[in-house]
Amino acid sequence: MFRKILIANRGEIAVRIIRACRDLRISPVAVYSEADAESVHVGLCDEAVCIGPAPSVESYLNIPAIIAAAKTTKAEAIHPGYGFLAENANFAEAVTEAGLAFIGPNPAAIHVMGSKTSARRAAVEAGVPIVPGTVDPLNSLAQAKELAEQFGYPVMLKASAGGGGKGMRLVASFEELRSGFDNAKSEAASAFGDSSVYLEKAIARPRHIEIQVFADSHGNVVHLGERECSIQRRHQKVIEECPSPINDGGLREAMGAAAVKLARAVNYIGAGTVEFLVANETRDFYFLEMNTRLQVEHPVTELVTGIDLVREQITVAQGAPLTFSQEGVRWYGHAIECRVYAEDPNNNFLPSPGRITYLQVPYGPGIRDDSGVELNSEVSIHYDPLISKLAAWGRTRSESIDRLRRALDEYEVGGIKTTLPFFREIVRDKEFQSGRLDTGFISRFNERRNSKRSIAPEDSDKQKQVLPDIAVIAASIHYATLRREGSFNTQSPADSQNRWKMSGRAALVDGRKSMNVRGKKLRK
Amino acid sequence: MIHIPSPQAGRGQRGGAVASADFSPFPSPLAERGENRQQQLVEMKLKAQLSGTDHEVSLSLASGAAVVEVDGRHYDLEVRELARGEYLLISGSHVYKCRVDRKRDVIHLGEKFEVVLRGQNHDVSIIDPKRLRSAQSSGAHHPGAAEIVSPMPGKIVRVLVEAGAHVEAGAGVVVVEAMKMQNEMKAPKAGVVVSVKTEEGATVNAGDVLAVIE
Repeated sequence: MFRKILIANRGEIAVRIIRACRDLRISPVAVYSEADAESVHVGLCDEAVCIGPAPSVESYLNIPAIIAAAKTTKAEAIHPGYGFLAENANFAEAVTEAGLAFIGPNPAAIHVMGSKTSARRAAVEAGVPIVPGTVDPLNSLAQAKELAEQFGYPVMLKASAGGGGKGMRLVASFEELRSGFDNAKSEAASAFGDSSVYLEKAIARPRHIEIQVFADSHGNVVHLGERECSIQRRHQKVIEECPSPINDGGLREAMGAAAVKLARAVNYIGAGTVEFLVANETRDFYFLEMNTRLQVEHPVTELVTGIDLVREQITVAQGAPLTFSQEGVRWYGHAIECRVYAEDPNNNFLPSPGRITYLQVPYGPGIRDDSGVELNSEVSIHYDPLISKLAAWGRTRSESIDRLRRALDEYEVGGIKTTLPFFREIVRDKEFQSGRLDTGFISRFNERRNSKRSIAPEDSDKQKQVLPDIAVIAASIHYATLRREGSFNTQSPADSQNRWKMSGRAALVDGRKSMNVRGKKLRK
Repeated sequence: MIHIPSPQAGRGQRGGAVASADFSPFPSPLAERGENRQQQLVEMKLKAQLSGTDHEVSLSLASGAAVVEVDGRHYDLEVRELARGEYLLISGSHVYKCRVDRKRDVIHLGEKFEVVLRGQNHDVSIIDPKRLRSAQSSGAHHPGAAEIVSPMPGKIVRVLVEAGAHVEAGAGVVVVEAMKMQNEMKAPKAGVVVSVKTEEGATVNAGDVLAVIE
């Protein structure tokens, strides 16, 4: 049994892991960058170590600092969360070399699945169907041309070292291939440090459906069913659900078996996700990639199966067998999750950093919110602007949508812009409600949204006219209240604080470089 | 017709500015807290800007009640201050729970507020014609001018308009590059570009005014 686990992450996933640790009476240790000193995840831990300045590369990606923090605090294991170092084979190796347990698979599995071309090769060897395409990186434009004609346009040009939706471009003709080929290679080199690209047939109206797998060190490998993640904006998932609206038990069984086969082939241990593209018409499924970590959208699987995936990650890392068998897994009800990002949906999803001045999180039956922020939290520009995940569970998809709609309406965040208004519209969209999903959903939804805006709004809903007036009235009343108190008469230093001036904040925390545990100086 | 109580003499009645150190962590309606403050009828005529549209506001505020006209539309409201900046407004039987925050981090005309109401966020600027800040903002602007402000540190990659140009609401004014993305800042209202305060290649901080449109 671990007594202490260090969480090498931040935000909502750090909070999630902390909770699983506390469930198991394990003491959680936080690491934080200078920008995150007052973060929620720090305050929830027993110990916390500052690992560097705000930029990720100097903090959350700083392997030596993280290992040192684990040694200083005598943590026995490290949980990497998702993103950052979670799929970094070097980190996994460094952790085990330091005598600590890495809560995740072995470095070899991470390595194989980390490159899209070696992952595809592993899938082929395991008999798992892959998207028709190259297994090896492309050598030349001529080779690309030949293969593209073989598969038939459109094709996808993808970076071997890419993933998570990044480093891919759709190519519809040879002209586009000719101009895109060199660009794709140089973009891949600068973004991922590897210019290798490969080619895949682009599947028409594909659905993105992934399978959650779990393996222990006793040879047990189980799948926990699927998640549908077709609603993506610029290849980033924004809404996920379990089960898939097109699931019949057969599709889940077939995809699950394929995913388990692949996991076994790489001697997988822990939680992993095998992603597939599913052709809407034929229900044929094709391996896309495998993520050797916990996924952002794991809550929907937890809500439907009742299994705590993070707790299971920890117990498996301790050497225990899985607490469930394939035959014992049950799927009950339907869960849908929305990723609440600090982005402005009315301004091209521009990130909206700032201080959260107001927060009203929804509750009630079937509502789950996984959050890394609280009132007064500072959402910074340095990290992914995911602030929380709102999930709703119901006995049916329709019931979960009712609850999700209600919870989205109840959710209020002041001080920053969020994607909540965007989700409120999606949840009312007929295509969404009918489950007609594929990766083209968002662009069709945006078209519907834009054409609706060009139509003059009906004057039928009187309340809609009143609400802007009420907003003006509320601001006026507040102004009058502040004026009456004399709040505008003095200009204190606090008044002119620029809450987005991170440089000011950095200067303030610079003096804390030699401190850990919230201001206590490190003894040399 | 709502009865507006007349100002009460006595406790807390002083001339001049009242100290604002009396915020209680325990929310209570304005009526009770009136004991610790000047009890008075506040009457104001303000200009408000929301989503690029200007409004005329006439406000009569007393403890527990407000009579307001917005562009001539009349509202009789019960007002309860639940907490600092949190108001429960009741009009007839309609309930509006509002959260108002003053935004202090930008150079602006009038005062900027963010109002959260029924899940929606509204940016409302209040201009008090009696107290126009002429000295602080660089150059005098009429109430109703809209500023385009950089929301984050970045670099100006393109300036799309010139001073004097007419723009439609939603027209691109300036392109700011930040976080590896190019973001087009759009005119919040139709009007004339009064001034462009930046140039291609300039580095900007969050809160910097990039252009002013009237």
